Amino acid sequence: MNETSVVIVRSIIAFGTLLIFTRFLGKQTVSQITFFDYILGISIGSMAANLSADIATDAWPYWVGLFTWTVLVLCLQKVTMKWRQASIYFDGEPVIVIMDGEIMDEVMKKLRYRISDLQEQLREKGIFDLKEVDYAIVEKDGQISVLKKADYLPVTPRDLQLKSTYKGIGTELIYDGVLVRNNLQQLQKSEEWLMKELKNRGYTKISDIFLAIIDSNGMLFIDAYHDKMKKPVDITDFKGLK
Amino acid sequence: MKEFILYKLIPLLILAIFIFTMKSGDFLKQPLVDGDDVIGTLSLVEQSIHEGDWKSAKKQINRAKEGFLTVQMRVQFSVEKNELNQIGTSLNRAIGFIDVHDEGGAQAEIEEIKFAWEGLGK
Repeated sequence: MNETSVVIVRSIIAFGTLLIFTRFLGKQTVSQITFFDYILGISIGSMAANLSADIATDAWPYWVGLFTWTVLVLCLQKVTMKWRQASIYFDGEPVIVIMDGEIMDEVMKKLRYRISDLQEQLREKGIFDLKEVDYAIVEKDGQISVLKKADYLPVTPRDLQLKSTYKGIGTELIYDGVLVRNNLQQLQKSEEWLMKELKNRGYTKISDIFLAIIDSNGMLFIDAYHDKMKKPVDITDFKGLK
Repeated sequence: MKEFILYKLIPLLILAIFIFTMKSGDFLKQPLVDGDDVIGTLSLVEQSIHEGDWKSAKKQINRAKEGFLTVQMRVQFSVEKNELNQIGTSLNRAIGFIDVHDEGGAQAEIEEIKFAWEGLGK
C-alpha cells in the first residue's frame, strides 16, 4: 500500500466533497453564523480531515457522515427559511439589552451576557460612553447592533439640506489585465471606446492595466501594473521581516 | 443549459467518481488480469498441501502473494490499511508454514486470508 498516494487521493475526495457540499449549503457568511452553525462547521471539517488522512479506516463511513451532516444542515436551513417559529426555536432571536438608554439587567442575566461583554462590544462599535446609546440589540450570532441617541448621531447631507449625487456601484471593465467583455456589453460600451480612454491616460495595452472600474457617472478608475510610486512608504518596524 | 452543466451535472459527476473510488474495493478485488486470482490460487495451494506436494504449494503461494500485490494496488483507495496488512501478514505466515511443511498452520492461515478477503472492501 502506497500511503502517500492513498492520502493524496483521499484528500482530493475530501476537498472536492467539502467544496461541493458547502456550495450546496449556500452563501451564509462567517459573520452570520450562530454558535450552533460554528459547531456544525467544526464537526463537518473534522469528518473531512479524517476522510483525508485516517487511512486505518476506509473512506466511505466518513464520507457518509459528511453527507448526512450536510443533508441535516440543509434540512435545518430549509425549515428555518420556511417557518419563522422554527427559525426562532432553532436559532433564537435578537434580544434588546439597552432600551431607552437603560440596561436590561434581567435580560442580560438570562443571556448570561456580562456588562463587560456589552462594554467591549460597544467599544468595538466606537462607543465609549454608555450615555450615547439609545438601543442595543444582541443579534442571533452574538454581534451587537446599536442605535445612538439622536444627539450623538452623525450629521448627514440631508440634515444640512445639502444635495448629494447618486454614486451606485462600480463595474469592472478590466480585471487583472483581462478585458471583461460581458460588463462592457452590458454598459453598451465598445472596446474601441475603452482603448481611447486608456490612451488618453497614457496606457497603450489592456494587459498593462491591473484594474479598471467605471462608476454610474461614467467616471473611470484605472490602476496599472507598474506603480508610479518609485519608493513606497515602508511601515515595517523591523527591516527584513514581513 | 450552461448553468445546469456547471452547477448540477459537473458536481454530481464528480461526486459519482468519488463514490465509485471509495466503493470500488469489492469490484476491484475480483480477478481482472492474468495472475491476480488470489482466492483461486489459494485453492490450488490447499490442494497441493492435501496432496503433500510442498514444492507446488510453495510455488502457488508465491503466485498468490504476487496476485495480492497487484490487487492491493487497485483496491488501496477504497479499503482499510489494516485489512490489507492482515492479508499480507497471513500470506507471509502461510509461506513460513509451507516452508516447514506444517499442514495445520498453513491451512489455518489460508482460512484467515479467505475470511479477511471476504470482508475486503465491504
